[in-house]
Amino acid sequence: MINKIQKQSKWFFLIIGLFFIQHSFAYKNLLTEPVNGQESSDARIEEGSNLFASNCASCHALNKKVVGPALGGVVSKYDGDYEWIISWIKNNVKLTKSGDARAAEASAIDASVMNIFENLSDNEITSILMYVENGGDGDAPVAAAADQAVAPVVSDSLFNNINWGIVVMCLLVFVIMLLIFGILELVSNVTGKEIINWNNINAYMMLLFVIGFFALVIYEYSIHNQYNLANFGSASEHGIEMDRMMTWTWIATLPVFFVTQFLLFYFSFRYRQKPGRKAYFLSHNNNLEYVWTLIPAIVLAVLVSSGFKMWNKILRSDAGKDAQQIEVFAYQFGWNARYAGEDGELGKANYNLINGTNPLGVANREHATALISELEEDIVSLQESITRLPKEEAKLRSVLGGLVGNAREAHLRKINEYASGDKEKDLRLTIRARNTQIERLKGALATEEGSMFTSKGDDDQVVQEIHLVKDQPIRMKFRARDVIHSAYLPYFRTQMNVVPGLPTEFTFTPIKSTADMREIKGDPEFNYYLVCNKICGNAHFNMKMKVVVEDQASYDKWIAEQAGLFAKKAEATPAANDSETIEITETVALN
Amino acid sequence: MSTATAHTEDHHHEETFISKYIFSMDHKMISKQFLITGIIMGVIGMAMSIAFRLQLAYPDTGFPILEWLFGSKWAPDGVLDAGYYMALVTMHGTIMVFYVLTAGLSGTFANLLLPLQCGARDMASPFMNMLSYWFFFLSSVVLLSSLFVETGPASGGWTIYPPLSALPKAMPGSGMGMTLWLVAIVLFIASSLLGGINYISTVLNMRTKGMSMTRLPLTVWALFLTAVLGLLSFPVLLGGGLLLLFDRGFGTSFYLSDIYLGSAGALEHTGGSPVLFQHLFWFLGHPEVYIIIMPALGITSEVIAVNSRKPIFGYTAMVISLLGIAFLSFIVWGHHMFITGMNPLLGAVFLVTTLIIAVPSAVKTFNYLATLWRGNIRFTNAMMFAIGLVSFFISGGLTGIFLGNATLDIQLHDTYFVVGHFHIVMGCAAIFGMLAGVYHWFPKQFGRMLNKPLGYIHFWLTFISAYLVFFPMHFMGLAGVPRRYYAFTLLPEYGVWFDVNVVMTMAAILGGIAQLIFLYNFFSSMFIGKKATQNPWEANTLEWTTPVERIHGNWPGEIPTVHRWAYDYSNPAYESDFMPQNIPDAGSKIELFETKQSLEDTKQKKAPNASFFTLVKNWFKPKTA
Repeated sequence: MINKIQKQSKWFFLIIGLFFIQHSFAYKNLLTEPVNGQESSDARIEEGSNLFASNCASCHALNKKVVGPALGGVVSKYDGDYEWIISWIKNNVKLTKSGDARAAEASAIDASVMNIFENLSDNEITSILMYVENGGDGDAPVAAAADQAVAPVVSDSLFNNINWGIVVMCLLVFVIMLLIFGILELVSNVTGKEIINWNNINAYMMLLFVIGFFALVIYEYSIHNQYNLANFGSASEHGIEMDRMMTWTWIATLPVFFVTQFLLFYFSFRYRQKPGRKAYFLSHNNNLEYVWTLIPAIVLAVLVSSGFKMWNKILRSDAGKDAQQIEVFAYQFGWNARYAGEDGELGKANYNLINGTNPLGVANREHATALISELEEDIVSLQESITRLPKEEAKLRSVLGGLVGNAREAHLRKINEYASGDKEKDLRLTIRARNTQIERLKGALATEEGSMFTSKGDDDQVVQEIHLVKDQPIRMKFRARDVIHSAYLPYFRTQMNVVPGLPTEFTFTPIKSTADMREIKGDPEFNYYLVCNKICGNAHFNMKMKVVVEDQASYDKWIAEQAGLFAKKAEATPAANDSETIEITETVALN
Repeated sequence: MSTATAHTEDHHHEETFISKYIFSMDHKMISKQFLITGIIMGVIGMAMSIAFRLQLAYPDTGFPILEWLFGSKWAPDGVLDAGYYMALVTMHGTIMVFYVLTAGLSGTFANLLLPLQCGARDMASPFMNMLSYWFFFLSSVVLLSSLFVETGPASGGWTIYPPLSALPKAMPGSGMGMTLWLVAIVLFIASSLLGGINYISTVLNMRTKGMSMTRLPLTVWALFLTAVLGLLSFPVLLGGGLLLLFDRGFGTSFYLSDIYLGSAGALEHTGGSPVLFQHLFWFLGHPEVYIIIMPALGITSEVIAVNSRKPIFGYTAMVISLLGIAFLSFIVWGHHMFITGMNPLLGAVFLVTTLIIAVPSAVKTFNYLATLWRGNIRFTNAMMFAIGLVSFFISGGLTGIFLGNATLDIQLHDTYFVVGHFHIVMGCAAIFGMLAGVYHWFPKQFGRMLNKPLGYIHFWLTFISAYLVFFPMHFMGLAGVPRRYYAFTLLPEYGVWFDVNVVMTMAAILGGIAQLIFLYNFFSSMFIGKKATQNPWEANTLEWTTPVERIHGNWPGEIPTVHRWAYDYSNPAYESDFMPQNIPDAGSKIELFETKQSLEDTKQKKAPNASFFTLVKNWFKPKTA
């Protein structure tokens, strides 16, 4: 109860605080905020939590460093300067290049660079910040799961307070053991008799080991094999046969495992050295060798031919060519999906067209034209930065005198970047890349025949979770923005690398809906996820997208709510107002 | 040193400390240098693995020791940084695969055994041999120096797939650390090629009189074929690595195309293919697996035969299966790339070749079992590790049948199943082969014996902990847990593995402690170990005919002449249960590829080649002492 009051009063103060911030900074979006009600603030925080989960959680947590720094208290760190924080989140690269001192400081926190979020509106970012300031007290579903899951109960004293007494004891035992072995050996040297028959001890240990080993195998099989995905049945059609093949491979290998391991240790035990015995001289036996060459060869031939057939069926068949197509897009560190919209066809896309408002680079003439002028502006500002370099260097040098130790070292390194011309070279290379990009865009715009600028992409829907219809084949086309990722859908027995510059695809038919799998697993919270399975950077472990398999009716309802990529933009041009806030809230909540 | 082959006992020149211990051209000293450098790298690699296993088991617990080791930048408050976790995983893989199990294993035993077992005074080119070590040393230094650069060491995985590794702006570890990684690998390849050419020419040209290829011990065969594999495959990685350096520094686009980086915008590169790099990498990468395991198998063949007091079963089959593995290893690389976007047709082809390679591997396993059968087994430390290797080879080989099947690989690719599989079949197995070799030839290298009881403790702790660490990983993989995750927080269902991770980490620490016992044993026995006799294991091969004092030129007088194959153990023709290769004994020839005449000569003394059914019948008969 007290907690709740505290919580509410915290929000109260926060809202009061926001109120002041609005007035003191005259920030236009906040003026349109309904700040008088607890309820709407709750909705904002809820919205912020969802947005945080889908946009920020792969690199940030609230109270611990993940890849980026912990975000708790970030608003007060920057003195509640919402305007600055929002422009940082939207495009930190631009802000840093513009020579902003705080941005330069913030970008020096970590060597990895934060993504650009121009697709988020000021309102949405404000919601995220509200969520961040409230510390995400457990209501936030995804982010909280990410935060909570890393809290196993561990006794901290286990390693942190090394018990030196125990360490010394262990060493003592070790030394005493050495002494005993030494003495025994001396005695056996003198008497000529072996005191410890190591050969027998080890022979019996071999026997013990194989029993213990099989016990471990059976234990593992009975305990940990219950999480084997095969137990829940495949959620895709081709997976059923894959599971069957897996079972057959187990049947082929497990007996071999038990028999050969047993023979290995049993022979070791049975034929241990005994006085007076001589080994049986047997250099080879061709028939025996034929037998154990041919049997594995036959078993493997069976496995090869069935694997070969199945592989061709899954990856080389034309069966799925008429299936519904969606595009799955991977970037550092997250996923997007693109649905074809009303026309049922995905528009063409190109990496040169990617920017904050068009994260997948879908081809659209107006967007491309706007992007060209944006790039030209960028070049101008980059050129300005080059002219500013000597001044910045001089400024850095001027404060060098007051620094000592590590800070001085770091500062000297920074100065060196200027002095060596690296900084300038980097800027010039960026300008060159921008010019190339403009050239390529202009070339593409000028092309008439086979132009990528069709209107097919205008109604494409870019979404942050995948919805699939049960029993309907789906053809996923994969595209990567930056490095290699891998789209891994374990429950669907599906995996394909997502490679920049090399389109890949995978066709499969989901046969178990999310609800079905929840029932099978007895877990009402269960969801399918697409996760990344190829090392792609520091936040590789934190990159997922929810996959929902549902019936046609729910899918139709969901897809109807997704706005077309360029259609949405046209509607959103009027200045932000209450109605827009509500609309966005709804969309996000349904996401 | 062109007169190396003419060195005899009475022809000794003054040796300074530097020429004897540092820039030595003596193959025995170079083998010690390789071994000790390999051990140091192994300790570093293992320490790294324990550091990141601590992170996996206790993701939120701070360990001051980590902060002390890596500094507050990489382990603030003793919790490993996500980027540094990746860096440690990458460095662990690189160090173990290349520096410990390639150079440490092949370098040590090829240098030690090729001249000694072939009957040569030294390597074909002692100077190149010395260069090979020093390139390796330099490469190790460069690699380790990358731990201290500002942006951290390479962190894109030991497979360094571009574009991640090609773009310094894609992750901090792709900066200076990656450049140093590539430089280190280039130096390493130079070392490996210098060594390989030397090993091949030594085996082909410098065998003593009577040492035909069919009389070579299996260690020599294995090390020889390993050198051939290295010679044919390492240059491809060199090429791939150089192209990657060009992409990084000179603006070429071999591996890069259509990239938009969050921090740099659209890049200019077009037309390259990241998959090209994977082909070049795995064209080395897969033979590399056999470069690692074949010497270990060779050592095991020798150790098992000596300690079972039985000839290795099916010498010819063992050689043919080594040749088969060596050949097939060049046409299976694509099984690492089934789902990388390579044309599925290629996937189907590689599926076939990959599963074929299981046949020679199976033959080797069965032959080891047949060698043990009705032997007279002495559990020396080396024998224990050799038996351990066979156990790992079986366990890991069988899981390979799952992964080699492209269809099942769709589900298992890059999960913990893969981690469990390759650590058992090539990590543990190869390390056990290496340790078997160290225990077996320590008397030859240092003239002293290792402490036997400590060796047993070392073996049992290592063996049990290795299975405890890697066996449960298969089940994590079957449950769909991806590898190379810094923390298992992404999905709630990963939560069930927290306990397992704790057990695995504990087992890894136990394994680490076991290696400390080994280190103590190794370094103390060098000075205080029991003095070795000339032939402590009563083995047949030529290295045991050299004096205990390891002299320059190996044999004081003439190089011995070889009269028989290396595996005449417990031959009923002789009183003793072994018969060294160099002892002349006219009527006792038992050879593999005899001529017709000699076959008739020795018919009555030939090994009993009983039929399959006789063998089965014999099984039930009471054994004669």
